[in-house]
Amino acid sequence: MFLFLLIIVISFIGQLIFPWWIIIPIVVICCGLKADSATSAFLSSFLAIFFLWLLTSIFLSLQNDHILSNRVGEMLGLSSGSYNWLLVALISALPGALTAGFAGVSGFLLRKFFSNN
Amino acid sequence: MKGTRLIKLVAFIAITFGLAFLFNSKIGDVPPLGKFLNPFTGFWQNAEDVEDIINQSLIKSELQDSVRILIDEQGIPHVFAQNEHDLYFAQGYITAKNRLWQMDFQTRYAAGRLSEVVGEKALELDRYQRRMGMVYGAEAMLKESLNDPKSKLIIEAYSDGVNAYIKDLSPREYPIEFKILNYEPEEWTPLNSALLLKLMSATLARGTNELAMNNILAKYGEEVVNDLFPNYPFKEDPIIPVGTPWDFDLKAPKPLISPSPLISLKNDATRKEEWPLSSRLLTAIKEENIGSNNWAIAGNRSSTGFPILANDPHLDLTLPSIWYQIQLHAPAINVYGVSIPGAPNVIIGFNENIAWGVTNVGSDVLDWYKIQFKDDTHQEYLYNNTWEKTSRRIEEIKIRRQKSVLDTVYYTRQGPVSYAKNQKPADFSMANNIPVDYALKWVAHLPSNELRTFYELNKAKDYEGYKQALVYFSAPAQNFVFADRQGDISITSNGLFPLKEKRQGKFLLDGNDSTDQWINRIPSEENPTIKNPERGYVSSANQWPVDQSYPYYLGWEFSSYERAHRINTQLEAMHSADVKSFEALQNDNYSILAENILDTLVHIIQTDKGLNSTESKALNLLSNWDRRYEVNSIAASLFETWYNTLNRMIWTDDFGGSEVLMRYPNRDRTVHLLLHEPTSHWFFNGSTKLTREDIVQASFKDAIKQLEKSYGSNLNNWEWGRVKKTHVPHLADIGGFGSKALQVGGSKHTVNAMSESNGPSWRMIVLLGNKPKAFGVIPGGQSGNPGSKFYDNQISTWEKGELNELLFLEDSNLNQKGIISQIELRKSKD
Repeated sequence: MFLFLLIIVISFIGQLIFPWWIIIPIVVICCGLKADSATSAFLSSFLAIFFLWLLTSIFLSLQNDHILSNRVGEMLGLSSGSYNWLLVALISALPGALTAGFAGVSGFLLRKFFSNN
Repeated sequence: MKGTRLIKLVAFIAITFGLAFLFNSKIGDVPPLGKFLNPFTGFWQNAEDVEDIINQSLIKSELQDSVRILIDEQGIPHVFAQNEHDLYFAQGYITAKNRLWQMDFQTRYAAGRLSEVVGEKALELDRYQRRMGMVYGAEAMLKESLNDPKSKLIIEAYSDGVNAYIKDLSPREYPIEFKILNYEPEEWTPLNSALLLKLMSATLARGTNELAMNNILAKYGEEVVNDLFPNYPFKEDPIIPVGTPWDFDLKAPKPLISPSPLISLKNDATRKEEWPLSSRLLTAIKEENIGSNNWAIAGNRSSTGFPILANDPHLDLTLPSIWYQIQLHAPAINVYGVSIPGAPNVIIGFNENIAWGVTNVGSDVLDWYKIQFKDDTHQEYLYNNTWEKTSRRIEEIKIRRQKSVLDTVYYTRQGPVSYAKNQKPADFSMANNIPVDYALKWVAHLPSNELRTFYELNKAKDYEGYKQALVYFSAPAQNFVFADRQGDISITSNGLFPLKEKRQGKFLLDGNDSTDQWINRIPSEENPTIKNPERGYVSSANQWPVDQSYPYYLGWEFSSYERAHRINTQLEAMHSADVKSFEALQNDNYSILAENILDTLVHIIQTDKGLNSTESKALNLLSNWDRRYEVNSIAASLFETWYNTLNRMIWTDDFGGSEVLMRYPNRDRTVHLLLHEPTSHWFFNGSTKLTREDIVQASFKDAIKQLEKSYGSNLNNWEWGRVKKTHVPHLADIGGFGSKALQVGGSKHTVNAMSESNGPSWRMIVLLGNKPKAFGVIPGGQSGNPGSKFYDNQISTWEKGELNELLFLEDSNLNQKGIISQIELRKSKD
């Protein structure tokens, strides 16, 4: 849980300044320091970025009356529906979450590799 | 053990980097997913807070003084500057803030630079634009504009304003289309503004029929051409009323031209190898499509006692909206109207004293000259039977992620040889009507300073100011309608019209023959014009500017007269006109075409005893039709489908072959044939001797079959709005970014000339007076951002045929009705 929250907080701040891929070094370092297992590294990283991106998207969409997320939904080929905006937000969270998950495991493995030396 | 761990580690790192790379790259048309979808810098950042009211105060050191921009409830800016430099700087700044991607993309389109951002698929389009001399023309225009200190100031200040906006833009703030296409905004240049004005010429004055006409001449001979493609229509209602005397003596010298350009190239046209590609082409049916309306009435016809003016330019509608509404205020200038995003000034609008509007003049300002090259090196060509040197322009077309393509275009004294032998692409439809080894002479290539026209109009106080402004205008020629508060009304078909012999340029011309060249122009002061005509109104709808007594040749074919005739008939009946009468006329769906031929056609069907029940119902609807293309009219769908089918059935066997490029006779000629030549052999289908009655009946049944096939057998589902499918697509056709289907009546030949997605791009009505009162609407909105509520907030008003009252401010006080926020641009902190 600590790892999960740590990643959320640092990634949030990091992404205000840097491009989206800044989550990779953040997650690698956090998991390198704090992860107990490959599974927890993956889950904490995946879920942290997933929820961070999802909630931020939902926040932005709500204050926009979902104007843009509905249009992007149509662009992505979704058939029109009143929860399209949410679907778009869920889809939006996936690339980051997936990348973070693998980055998290990499961080954990990196520590294991060097700590056993 | 260690080895396995290493492999695992390397594998996970590889996957991580692989994913990062994948999600950061544009693959095919899929935007880079991580970059695009993340909520911190991706598209979510373009989702504007609908409640947000932006009050900004920014430092722009380029300014000479401070500027205040008030934003109204429609998101329209009202710019208040202390001097003209700052005024146009601020116009550039605020336009870029709302429309940057549109400005960038349209400029690239005009300049043949789309491949840089979308890759190889735009290569032929880019080549085409360059080979048609778009950049060449824009450069000539820019050079001329920079020679004029006033235009130079305006175009450079505007450009600086755009760049001031771009400079402070972070990737997070890029317009969404940059994120989808994955590229960055680049520095704006004055050439871009010139390119956008050239794009207007390309849209309105680049149509060319010469190749098709030459092919028809070669196949059928002069007699048929004169019969089916006459030089003046049967029905006309010209802009300058019939019988108006021309109050000038012919000052211009007679044009030097060979007596019959028609004959000189006739043999050439039969040499089919000249057009090796045409066998693969389907006939391009030139739609009689380019159109707009404008009119003004004198005070004695209006309820206010002052003139009223209206304009609605018809274009291929897109989102972001074609026009950008703006009010510009500085010492000695206070103007409101629509501007071209990317170009300074107001193009159509009004100020405290005058109002003006434009429609296109379809005069013949583009010709093709046959070029005989000495050899395949294209270094020399024959002119006046001596060898002249070509000049070369090497076009470097940069292509995204590929090597640049170098394209050499040869220029003769006439202009660029758009496609020399072996250069014309086989599968690029825009080039279908371009003859091979011909040089393009086009008015849009000549040096010009249209910017100055708009600047002068923006400031004009009266008729004199209007006339002075028009002198600077070359292309695309426009019918400038005018009214002022002193009570003057006027209309002028204005632009640079080459001085031509009758029919010169109806067919392909000979580049070798010096007497075939454009030598002079119609003197600007002798362009067709009228001031305060007796009938109390002026109007235009792209029809012929003049009757046949006008001493100069303008062209042989203009848009047909139906819209113009309807407008004039309605204006004639107006005696106490107000904004409502004008609004009704802009939305008028009455079909003069149906008035002319429906009775004849229906009568023919009534003699047919073998109608099935659907056909009988349809006939019944048509005979009782009020001839209005209303959105719920079923008869309108029937008539439209029927007429189009009939037109095709009459002409396709004669002019629709796939062997060479040809075109159909126009609507005026077709209507005349239907009404007055029932036994014409043109009704024959090949060797089958059909009569008019046969074809009318067959087309009626065929039309009904088509509608049944598309909309089912229940006639109630054939409502015109459903069949027409009006909508406004996105400029780059990005799904979800266009409008929904719109319920709008009208047809291309009704005053409300709305087809599927070509129609009124701006509706404006101005009531002149001590204080002008004006109304307007665009089918879209002020913002170019699909994530803004101002992206398409005007579209439902437009759909209903209504107009918004325009907020014409006198001062820059923030606390006035209709103003929601302000942006302050200051030179320095204090």
